[in-house]
Amino acid sequence: MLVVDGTVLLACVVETPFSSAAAALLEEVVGDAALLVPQAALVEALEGARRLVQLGHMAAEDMAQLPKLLMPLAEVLAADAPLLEEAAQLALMHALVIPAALALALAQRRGARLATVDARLAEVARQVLGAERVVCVKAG
Amino acid sequence: MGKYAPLTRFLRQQQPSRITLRFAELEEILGFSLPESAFKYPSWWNNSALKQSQVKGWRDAGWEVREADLRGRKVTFVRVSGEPVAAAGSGQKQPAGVAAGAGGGFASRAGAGAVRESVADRGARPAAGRLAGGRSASASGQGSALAAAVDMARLPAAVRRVLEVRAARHGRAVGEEVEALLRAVMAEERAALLTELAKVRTRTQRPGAFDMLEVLGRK
Repeated sequence: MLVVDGTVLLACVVETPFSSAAAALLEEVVGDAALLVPQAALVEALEGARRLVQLGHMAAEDMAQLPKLLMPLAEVLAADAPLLEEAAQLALMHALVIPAALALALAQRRGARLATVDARLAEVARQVLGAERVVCVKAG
Repeated sequence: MGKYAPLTRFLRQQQPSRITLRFAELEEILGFSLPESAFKYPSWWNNSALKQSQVKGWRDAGWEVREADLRGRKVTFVRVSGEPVAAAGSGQKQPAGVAAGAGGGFASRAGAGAVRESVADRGARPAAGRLAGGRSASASGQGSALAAAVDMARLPAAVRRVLEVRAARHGRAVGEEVEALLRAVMAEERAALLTELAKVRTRTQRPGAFDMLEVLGRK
């Protein structure tokens, strides 16, 4: 099982130095059918896309179709509410934003690996989950 | 499908006409904990109140409760109508340690297995999340959940035959064939989604002019 956060999703949606690796990662887990996505990651990616629309990097119609493209990618779309308590503690303890902490909490609870573009989250995740369960998506 | 549909499927697929299940095994099949009433009131295990979802669960399968042992936390079901139906899971997902009844030995019979939804994904308590062979439900992954999603008894006979022929051709159990087909469909759909995402990505304007992590407030 692999948990991905909003950074991986957004990197698959807009061209960034991380996009090739992020897309390759999702292609790899396609056959595995074990992609876990916290609801917050979808919200975060969509909000990121909205800002990119405002900044003129993305077309509004492209952003509008993201929910129907991103949601079916997840084998499990994990509810955030049951994870909020753990996420709040992780966020405070490690100075993470809540969406990042939710992804970490989900990976922790499910015994899953965590993939992120965010090097800071990856660093914390290595401490919490162990290095073998963390995939830090690198710039290509 | 009712809440107790996994039990209906399980019972339909049993070869013997009598089976005793511990409450914990029943919870494993169902994927959720039995209500307190099941532990307190023998009447919860009745056969006549068809408006009660649990009663509908075993009666729809053509089974009835013969004896509910609340103190021993086990229940004996007997088949009163119908014939066993082949399981999509092909005997792989029997709850660990299920006790056979008078018609016993079913656990070792080919095709006598139960199929059900992933216990772990439905948030059942950990004690109920074990599958046969010491394999945890969460570790069993999507495969078992896919097979469990298919109620072979409700498939048209022609579809069942096609699945059986394909399974034989590929040297698989029917449940494995169902799983392989569903996986292929899922992979195809996801590949199509990733292709669409790649198209969106190529339309990014001035891609080098923003920092994605900054946009997300991660910096």
